[in-house]
Amino acid sequence: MGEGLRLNFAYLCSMLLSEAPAGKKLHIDALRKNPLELRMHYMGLRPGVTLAVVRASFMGGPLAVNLGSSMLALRKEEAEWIEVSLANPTEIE
Amino acid sequence: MSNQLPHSILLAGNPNSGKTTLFNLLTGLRHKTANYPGVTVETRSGTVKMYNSSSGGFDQLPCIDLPGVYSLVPDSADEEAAVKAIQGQLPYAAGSVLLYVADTTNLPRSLDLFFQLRELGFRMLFILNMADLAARSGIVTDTAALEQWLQCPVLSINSRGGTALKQIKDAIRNSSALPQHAPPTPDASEISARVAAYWKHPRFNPAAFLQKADVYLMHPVWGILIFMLLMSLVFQAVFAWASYPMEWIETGMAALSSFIAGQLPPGVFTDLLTEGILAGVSGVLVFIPQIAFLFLFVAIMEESGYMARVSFLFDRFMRRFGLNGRSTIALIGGAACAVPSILSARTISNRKERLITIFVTPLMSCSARLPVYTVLIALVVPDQRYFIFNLQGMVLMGLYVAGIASALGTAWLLNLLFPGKETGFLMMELPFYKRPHWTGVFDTVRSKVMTFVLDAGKIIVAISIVLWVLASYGPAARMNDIEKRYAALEQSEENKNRKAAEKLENSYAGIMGKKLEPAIRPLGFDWKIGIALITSFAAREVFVGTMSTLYSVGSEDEARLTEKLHEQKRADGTPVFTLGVSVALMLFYAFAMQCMSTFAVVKRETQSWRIPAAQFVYMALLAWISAFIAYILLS
Repeated sequence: MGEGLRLNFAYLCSMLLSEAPAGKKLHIDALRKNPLELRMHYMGLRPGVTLAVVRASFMGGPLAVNLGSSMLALRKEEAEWIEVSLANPTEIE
Repeated sequence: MSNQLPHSILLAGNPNSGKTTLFNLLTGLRHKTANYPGVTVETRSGTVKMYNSSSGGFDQLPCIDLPGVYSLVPDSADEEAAVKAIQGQLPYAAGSVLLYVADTTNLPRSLDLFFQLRELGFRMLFILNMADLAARSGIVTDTAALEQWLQCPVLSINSRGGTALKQIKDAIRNSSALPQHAPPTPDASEISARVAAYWKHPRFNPAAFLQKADVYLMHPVWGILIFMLLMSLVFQAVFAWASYPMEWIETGMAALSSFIAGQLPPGVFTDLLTEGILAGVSGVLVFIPQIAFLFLFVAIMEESGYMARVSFLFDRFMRRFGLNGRSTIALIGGAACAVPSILSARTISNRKERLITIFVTPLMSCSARLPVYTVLIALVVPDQRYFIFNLQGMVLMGLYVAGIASALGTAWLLNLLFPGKETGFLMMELPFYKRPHWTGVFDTVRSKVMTFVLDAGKIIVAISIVLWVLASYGPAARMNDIEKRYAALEQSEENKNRKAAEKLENSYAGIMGKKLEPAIRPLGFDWKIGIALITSFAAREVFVGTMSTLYSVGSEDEARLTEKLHEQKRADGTPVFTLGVSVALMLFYAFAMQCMSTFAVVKRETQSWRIPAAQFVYMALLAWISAFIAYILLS
């Protein structure tokens, strides 16, 4: 998948999923190149997808994220490959 | 004409799409599972009963449940096996119909595989499963528009509902009109656009899927406490409830054995049948209640979705030892019985993590070790209390801790020594909690128990027969001598026991025990213990029976045995079972691999003799060294 997929949106505060605050709506901006990227794609982690962290990493452990129609568990390192940003609050659904 | 039924029915789709429930619905009880040892992949095959209007009767159509994958581009050894299974069906694509099962709540994700399969030439029926769940979540799907776009029938069903079966069978009946040449697969942007148009989901609510239960069950602290509580309840149940059927089986088999011995003329064949074969078979059957209960609880935890939460909670801890969060359930189960636990390690896709899990699980103190611990603790540990702590209980707990510590320690060591090739990962779906589908659960339990009975069982019976031969036969001269001597004595109960003890001593097993003695003398063991070690290789509980025979205790009365052992003295007058010897023996049993079932299962799951052999040697060394240290320190 090349150097990760990018969408050209100008969102504010881009961060890694592993550091994202819980309970806030997020958008995936890009997936960094990683050995699990195919699996991520098929599990629904793709650029443009909306998600939220429901359980943040506790002492370096895994996180749980809500993709809207399913919930995924991810290790902190796996979440570090996903770049996200806070969804613009005035955005129309 | 269009009334022609397809030659076969295939089921494909993503994991967690409810495909298997649908398969169960279609085939009723007429199916079986084929496991590919060492991978998570399973293919199930069965038959579907369909009315054939041209012949006027019912046909049994072969139906195959293909392994669930996210795509035909494999990402791991697991998926490779799955993809091969699917590709194996290609030659039959023309005559068969493929039911593509998708989770309606996850439609976008399901389409990739659908298009890939359609491109290969399969004739497809699209089944939107879990319609009830989707409706509850507020998802609205335009099935008519989807049908138009995908150019195949689209059915929205709830596989647990009543009408699903009829709808699907009707669709299958009309499927001969389906084309085999697919329109070109749309590109990604068209797919997103169409999905957005035909599949509406409500506004994203960040907290929506944190179900109430998960607030506690996935809480870093509460979650673990609740899990511990749950586990102790499960263990209580497994030990308490399973003991009844286990006793029935033992009594039943003993009765059967006496019955047969009574019916057939006395002789070698009868003895072989009752003491060799039947005893071996009994040894396998007696495991069943415990294994069945364990499998049942594990199946319930998996079906309901709780298992995923357990993996989530323990992943961080497990990773320090080269294990995966999914290893937790294997290790915990190993404290009851290693056999089903090793089978459960299949859910770990990473080969290194899975192998390490399989390797260390037998180090957990399983229930078969309990009779051994009980006898030995009663022998040397005083039944006293310090405050609220019962000394005997403490030692027992210490042995369990030793098991856990050795398992984790060995895992850590293996992780260090063997570099892994694939990246381990946890990334997995946390399914919604749902009520377990009981038919499916019982079916899973049944098939796993049968696998154990047939596979491991064969080896156990074979070994039991070998051990019986070794323990019953010895050099002719000695055996005849014993017979002569005892024939001249009074036929009392005590003499009978003594005779049995002498015969055992002079049997091949006894000779082996004596030969083994030099190797175990540093541990303080004598040749009688040596015999018990040899016979325990079939199963650890055999220890009590063997010791009873050796020390001329008629029945397997543990209390009486403990008394007898206490009295045993060596040639120089010192007691045999000192604190040092007993603790050494306890540790030996804690670590040594004395279970043919485990050996058999590991061999099957790893598809090699090397790994169980390595386990055996490693555990024997660990057992010997720790027994040695204990004996030296405590004597």
